[in-house]
Amino acid sequence: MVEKMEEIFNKLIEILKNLAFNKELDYSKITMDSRIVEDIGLNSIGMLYMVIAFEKEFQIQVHNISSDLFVTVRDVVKFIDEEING
Amino acid sequence: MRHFLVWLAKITGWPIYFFMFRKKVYYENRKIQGRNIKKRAIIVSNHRSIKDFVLYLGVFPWRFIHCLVGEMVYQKNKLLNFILWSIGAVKVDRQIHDLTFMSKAESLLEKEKVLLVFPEGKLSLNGRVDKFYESYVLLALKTGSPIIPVYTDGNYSFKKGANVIIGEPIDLRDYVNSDNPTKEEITRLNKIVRTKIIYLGRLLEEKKGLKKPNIFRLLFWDLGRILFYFSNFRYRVKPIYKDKKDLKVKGKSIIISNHSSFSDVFIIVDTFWRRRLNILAAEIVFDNHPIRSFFLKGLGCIRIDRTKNDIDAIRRCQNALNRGGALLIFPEGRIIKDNTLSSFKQGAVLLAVQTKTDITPTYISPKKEKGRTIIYVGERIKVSEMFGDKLPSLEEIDLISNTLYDRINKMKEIDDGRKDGRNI
Repeated sequence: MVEKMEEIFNKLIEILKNLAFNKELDYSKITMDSRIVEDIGLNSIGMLYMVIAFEKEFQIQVHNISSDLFVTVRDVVKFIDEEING
Repeated sequence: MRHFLVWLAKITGWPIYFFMFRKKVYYENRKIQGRNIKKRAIIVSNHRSIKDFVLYLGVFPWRFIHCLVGEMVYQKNKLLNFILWSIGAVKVDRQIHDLTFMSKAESLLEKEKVLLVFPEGKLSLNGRVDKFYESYVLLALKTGSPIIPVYTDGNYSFKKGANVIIGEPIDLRDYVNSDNPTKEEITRLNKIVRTKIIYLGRLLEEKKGLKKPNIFRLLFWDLGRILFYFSNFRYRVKPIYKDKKDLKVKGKSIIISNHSSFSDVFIIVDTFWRRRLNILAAEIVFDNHPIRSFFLKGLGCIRIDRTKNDIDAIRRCQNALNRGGALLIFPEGRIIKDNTLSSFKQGAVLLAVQTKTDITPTYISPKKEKGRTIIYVGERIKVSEMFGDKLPSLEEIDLISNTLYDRINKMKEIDDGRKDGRNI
């Protein structure tokens, strides 16, 4: 129920893999510092889809998010961690 | 004396309470935990407003609720101090780390009383459930009191009304092995309760979303629809279709169309006149026009802010569809006046796959035929049958979006080559 940052990161990578928005991407090379738009290639709808997917996975409720909130994977992991663990 | 004052306040203040809060109570499982608390318990809630305590007086009307109150509230004035005394509040002085409240709270629980705790220790104004302080965990373990998790959305406006959800009780002793839990165990228990309250928030949103609009809202909506039908005298809509079934959308449904003018909304409403349509409209139509905004919302329009990832708008659309509603989306995202078809945004498809809803593509012709507006209604795309339970990949969403674009573009090509009206 209570997750660590590393577990959140691994689950997030799994979510990104399932979304399969970029077939050429090597998911093993994604790090905490990978940039969401530039390195992973997520567009605005992809970002929205990712949020919907991690809401479902982590059982959290996300309200409006500005497009510049998530720059790197670390931002997403930190956001989820704060939502889950406070 | 205290009990007398509280019951007097409850009875005489009930009409004011009823109109001020207009609360709606939901349950995780009503059979396990309803509004009647029979034994000692600790109600743990998120904290959205100073009115939260008054709200819970009405949510649990049959019990005398003792609330842990911060020292700041006591510093306001003497009348408030008297009120706090009369409702049996327990003062928590966070400035000097005074722990006497623990023994007071413990003795109340030993007497089978009910304690209300807001473990965030402060108001959460951004809607998030902040970090929880852990003292209530110790109280629950020491006295063997179950925790009743409760979530409120903090809507205390007359228009919206407050919504509360009561969760199933948690007995924290089930999660620890020893009588003297370690600091780590207490932190873990605290996180379990906080996670549960966040989950209740999510559940509340889902349950609220499935609530049908009230009768006044529906009457207002239908009045608007009747007024919209008068526009048919001007547009004289002529739908062209292959199968009449495509014109009669039933159950949850998404209708998409090209967007060349504001009048497109009237044309679509006239075409699908049998249904109440929710219309996804851009922020620009609503912002800085409070009266227009009021009427548009009353007529089923859903505001989407295109400048950010407006997940709340997506959620409102999902709720409308899950209630069995029909939703109109212009996937180009703006008005295109030069008779071309711009690329489609994928939001409509995202919603369709999320809610397993079919999409009806339509094309509104810029040309008129004998003074009549032509609208092509295409064959329904059965997104509901495509993916089962798994979430499709973004590539698959892209594929459906392109199919929709091709369908509407085909209608456009037919219309471009049309001299007289003919079937597609």
